[in-house]
Amino acid sequence: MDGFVRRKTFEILNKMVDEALAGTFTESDYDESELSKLESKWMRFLSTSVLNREAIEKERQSIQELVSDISHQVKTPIANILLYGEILEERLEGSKEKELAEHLLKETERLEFLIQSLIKMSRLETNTIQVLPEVQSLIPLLEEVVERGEKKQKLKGIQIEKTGWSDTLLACFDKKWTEEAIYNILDNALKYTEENSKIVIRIVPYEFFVRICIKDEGPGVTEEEAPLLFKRFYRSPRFSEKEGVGLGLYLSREILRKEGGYIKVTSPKEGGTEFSVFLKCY
Amino acid sequence: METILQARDLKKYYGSGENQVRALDGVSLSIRRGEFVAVVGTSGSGKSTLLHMLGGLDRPTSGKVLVDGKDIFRLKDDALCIFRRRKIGFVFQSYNLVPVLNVEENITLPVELDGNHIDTMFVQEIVQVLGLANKLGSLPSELSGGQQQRVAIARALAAKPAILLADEPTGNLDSVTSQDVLSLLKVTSEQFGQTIVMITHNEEIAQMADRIIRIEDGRIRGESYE
Amino acid sequence: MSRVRNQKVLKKLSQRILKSRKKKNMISLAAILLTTVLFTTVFSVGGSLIKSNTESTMRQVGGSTHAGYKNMTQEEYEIVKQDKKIQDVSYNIMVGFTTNPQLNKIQGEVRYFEPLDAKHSFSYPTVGNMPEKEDEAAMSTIVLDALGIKHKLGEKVTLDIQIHGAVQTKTFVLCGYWEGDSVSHAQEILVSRKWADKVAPVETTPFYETDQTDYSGYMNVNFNFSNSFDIEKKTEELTQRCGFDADKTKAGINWAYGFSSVDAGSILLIVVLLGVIMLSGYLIIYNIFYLSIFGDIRFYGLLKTIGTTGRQLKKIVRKQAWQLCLLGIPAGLLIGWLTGRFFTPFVVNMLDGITMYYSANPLIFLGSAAFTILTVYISCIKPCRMAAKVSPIEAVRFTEKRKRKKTKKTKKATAFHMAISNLKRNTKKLVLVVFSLSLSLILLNSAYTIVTGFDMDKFLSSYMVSDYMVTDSSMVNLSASYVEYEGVTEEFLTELKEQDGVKNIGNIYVCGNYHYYSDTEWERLEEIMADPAYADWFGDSMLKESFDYVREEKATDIDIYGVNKEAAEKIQLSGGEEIDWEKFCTGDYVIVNAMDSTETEVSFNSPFLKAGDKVTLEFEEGKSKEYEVLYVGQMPMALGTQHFPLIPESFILPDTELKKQSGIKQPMRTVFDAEDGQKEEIAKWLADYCEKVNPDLAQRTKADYQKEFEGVKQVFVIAGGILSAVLALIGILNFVNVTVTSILSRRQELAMLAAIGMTGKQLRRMLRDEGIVYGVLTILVSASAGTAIGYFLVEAVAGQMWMFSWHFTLLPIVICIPFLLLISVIVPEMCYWNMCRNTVVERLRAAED
Repeated sequence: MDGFVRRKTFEILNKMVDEALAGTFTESDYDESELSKLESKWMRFLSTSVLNREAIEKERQSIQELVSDISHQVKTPIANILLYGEILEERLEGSKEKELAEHLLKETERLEFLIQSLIKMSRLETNTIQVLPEVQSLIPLLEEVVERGEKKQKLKGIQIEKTGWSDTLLACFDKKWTEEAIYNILDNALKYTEENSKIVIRIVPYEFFVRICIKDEGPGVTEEEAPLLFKRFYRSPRFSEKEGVGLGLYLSREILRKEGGYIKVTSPKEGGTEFSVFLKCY
Repeated sequence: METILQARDLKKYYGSGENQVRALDGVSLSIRRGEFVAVVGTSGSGKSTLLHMLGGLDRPTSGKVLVDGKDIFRLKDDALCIFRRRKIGFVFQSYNLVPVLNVEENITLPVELDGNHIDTMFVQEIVQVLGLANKLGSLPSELSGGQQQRVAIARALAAKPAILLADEPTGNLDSVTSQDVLSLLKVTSEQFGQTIVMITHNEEIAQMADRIIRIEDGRIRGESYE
Repeated sequence: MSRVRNQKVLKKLSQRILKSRKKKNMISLAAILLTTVLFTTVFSVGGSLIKSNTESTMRQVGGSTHAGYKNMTQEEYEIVKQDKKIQDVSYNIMVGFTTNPQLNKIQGEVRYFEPLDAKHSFSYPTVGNMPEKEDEAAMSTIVLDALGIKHKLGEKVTLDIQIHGAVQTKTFVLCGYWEGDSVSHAQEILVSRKWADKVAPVETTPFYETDQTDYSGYMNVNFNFSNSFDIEKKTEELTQRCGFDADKTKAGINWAYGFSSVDAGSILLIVVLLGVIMLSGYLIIYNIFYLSIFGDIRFYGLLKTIGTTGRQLKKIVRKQAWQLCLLGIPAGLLIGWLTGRFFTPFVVNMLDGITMYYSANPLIFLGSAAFTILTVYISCIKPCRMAAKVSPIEAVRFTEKRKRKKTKKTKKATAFHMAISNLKRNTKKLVLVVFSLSLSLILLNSAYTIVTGFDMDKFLSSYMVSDYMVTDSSMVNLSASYVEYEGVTEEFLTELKEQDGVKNIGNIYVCGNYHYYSDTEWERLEEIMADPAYADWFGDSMLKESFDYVREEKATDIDIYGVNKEAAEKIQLSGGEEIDWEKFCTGDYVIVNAMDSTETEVSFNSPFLKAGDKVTLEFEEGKSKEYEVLYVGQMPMALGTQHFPLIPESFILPDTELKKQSGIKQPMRTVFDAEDGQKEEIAKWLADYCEKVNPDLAQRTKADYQKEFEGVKQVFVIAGGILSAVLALIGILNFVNVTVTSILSRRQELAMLAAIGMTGKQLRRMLRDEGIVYGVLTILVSASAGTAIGYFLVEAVAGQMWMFSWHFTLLPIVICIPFLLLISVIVPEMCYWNMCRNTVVERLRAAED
């Protein structure tokens, strides 16, 4: 009898915790029992911790909004600075100070890029933008990515080799954001690889995933560096002269993670860097 | 991020005198929640022994393992067992599924051993992610290696353990299947915020991890930090 | 802390494990079944024995109530009746005894019975009713048959009844009858209360105040207690409660309920038997479970890695055992009960004077099941512990197996030396295996010794000295209340003589008489009584009073036999003399026996009288005559009265002389032989005669006894065979267990040995050598120490049977040697192949990383 009561009690306690974990806990009847007392305390504890959580969530939200607001607010001034800078550059045509104006423009462009990335990032993180993956053909996506990079590619005389591009390949992704993610990687490759070299975009299908490898002939990454590449604002000390803010790969990783894929980087023995994007295909 | 698993000066010696084998010779490491760590080493480097220690499968000669701040080797055998089924999920090279239970029963076994109600939604989610939905009624012997390993991963995840320990999870699989299984491991760990410690001797596989710990002759020989 | 609920999943696991290991389970199941069968057999034989004993005793006693008071007055009855702790109280009133000459053979008792008491006394009419009218009476068919009255209601029955010392003759109308039971001491004749009150009204003087010879008019009160446990004490208490004087008012206890019939020896035997079965059951089940768990050790290790606790693993193992029990026990109970039924007749026949009843008492099944469950439980303890203690890395170990290296000192590393050193490592198991294998051999040898040691002639000599024997049926019915010593009729003898092929007709007459010892005789008897060799006989405390009486009176009951020439020739004389019939026949001589001639051994060290002594024998009606002792000799047991008086002295006279002196007319026994080739015809004629012509005659033939002898032998063959087989099974299982355990636990070592170049052939040789050492040791132990153990075993079992004579043999062991060696070679071989299969798989796996 005693055992039965005890067992029952523990069953209720377990249920209480389970419900709390699922966020569905409510108090049952109020009575003089110890259990009821416990329930009330439990409820109080849960509500305060929920309050806490909500407070933290709110705080985070407001920071995100602040970032978003700042980004928005600086957008126009930057556009204006760019405009005036260009005018100034034209005016200074042929003079010595033109170089200064060019510097000014470049830094402003960088600032604009940074701000745009920040906006994207904050939107992703605040979930104001939903990544909605759906099963669709992979090739159009990659074609668009390549097209976006065509200008830079032509500029550096880089050749793009496509292996394993089969029209029947399907994967599960959100087209807009995935294009962003993969373009960031391609952009990175275009940035770091030598002029007149080759970038290979290889597609390998698996049972559950489809892998998109983007391999350049650049300087490669060290093993220590590999996990750091995807951190926010990480910039390799070896290439500090290259332009960039260190958000692209971070964004890519976040986007892919949201659609159930992931990204990894390796340096093959023959040199260069290989990024592999894994997209779910079911 | 908080530390979930810590090893302090772990030592494991076999035998004595001249024949003494130092499988682990003072290993200390610390793993944070949500990390995916690969432990790399050649055969006989002590990496499996390390994993056994971390999972409480074997007791060290000296040293401590703290899981969620608790010294697990202070626990008695049965308590250690219960600790294991609540806090640790294992994925082994040889899958180690219970041959007499079907896929679904295998997955829910650790949960049931603990006498808990099965979180059906969660199990369904895992099953979905791991692509096992249409195999639930099959027996392990009817599955391919990759499928079996996916079941093992699902089983390891079903109890919502704090840490998932994987010992050469792709050791018995061909490279294509390996890639899939690892991808799933990685994706699920990200999706469910799982901490994973994976042992491998394969560099390529190790690259999947957030961090790689190299072990050689029972000691840590190098680590890549985030 | 409350335990979490995980029974369901444990149950599921154990069920699945069971399902997946059908072959292994069949073996485990068989082991449990075997144990249950053994237990049930013992219990049901025991139960049937007790029941047979109880029922037979009840029938002899003529009542089924727990206890009763004899000879009470109405007043005393009322007191007893008031007592609250007894139930089913009822009574009968003694009226008198029948004196009709036709009823001489049976003790006819005329009583009024209450219906309940009639039922309890097995004297309730199955046809008709209880007597109500004054002239009504009911009786058993035996009484009717004796009186020659048809079994028909309304028949007139005239009885001479002795009431209060006087004989009254009364004709009754038969109002009811029932099938009589010849085993019963007395046959009841029921009369109405009316008539009883009229001729023998209930007495008012307490019986102990009378001269205690007249029973008429006294009540016999019978009753039950709530249960039959320790009736004696309960009755004593009742006597006290009722305020009776325990010395004067004697309570009769129905000894059918007493366990006095089950003496300490039998209890010990049963305990030992149960112990042996439990031990063998344990060894079998334990071994099988151990092997089964050991084989699955990695599986249990795996369960442990994923978080199954030791306790849960224990439960999983135990649940498997229980599930097997669920199947095995009911089947075992059924089979065991059937085997029990098979064996019961043999055992009951060994105890004389019991009619066989089969018992299906639920206690038999409950007991057997309980014992089996207990055995299974005990058997599981160690395998459970092993499963619980399994190391979790066992399941994942092989990945890092190659690391352990051991440098082994190479001291004459021949396979044989290695085998020896391996054996030394686990002496306990070595002893266990050798012991159980030896025990089986010893048992087999003992069973063989017993069976071959049964001497048919010795056996027959105590029953039959001729081909045929005829006597009155009461002579062979040991529970008969009245024994007819003159049963062989003239008609029979006449017919017998007319039969073709009959020869050597020997007649034995007997006259039981009270013999007064002369002084010289008495002196001799005193000597014998003082002889320490017979202290057992004369020192029996139970009979002390009787011996004291003999001493006081210097007289006792003795048998005087009369024999014709043919019978006389069967008499064994001291010194192996031939009887001088001519001289003996004169009627002046007598043959006397010796104290130390027993039923089995005939020797004449302590003759009651010597040749040439004079002795005066008394016959009926005061006649007496002095004879001279001609020989010291012994009437063969088969021809004697086969009862044992206080002083086992007997005299033999020629038949003519005995007939002349006493009123004896007809022989007690007649024995005869038949010409070869006519034995069967004569047997048939004899059987026919004793069945149809004169059912009062009983006949025995040598062939019957031969058959009986074979039956007894067969019991030993079967029982010994089964026991040896069970033990052999245990031994072999132990052997397999040890070999498998040693191979598995040394698997790494063996792999290492293989790695350093020990070929499979050498490995197998090593294992085989180990096996042969087991075999050789077993043979040595069973042939040396075993013979001693065997001797005691044989002595204990068969030493008491006179038909057994011990002689040394090792034939069964010799025959078993090749089989044993074969087993010691095959078992390791099979284990080795089994191991190979495992390791190859593992090696393949291990090679992949």
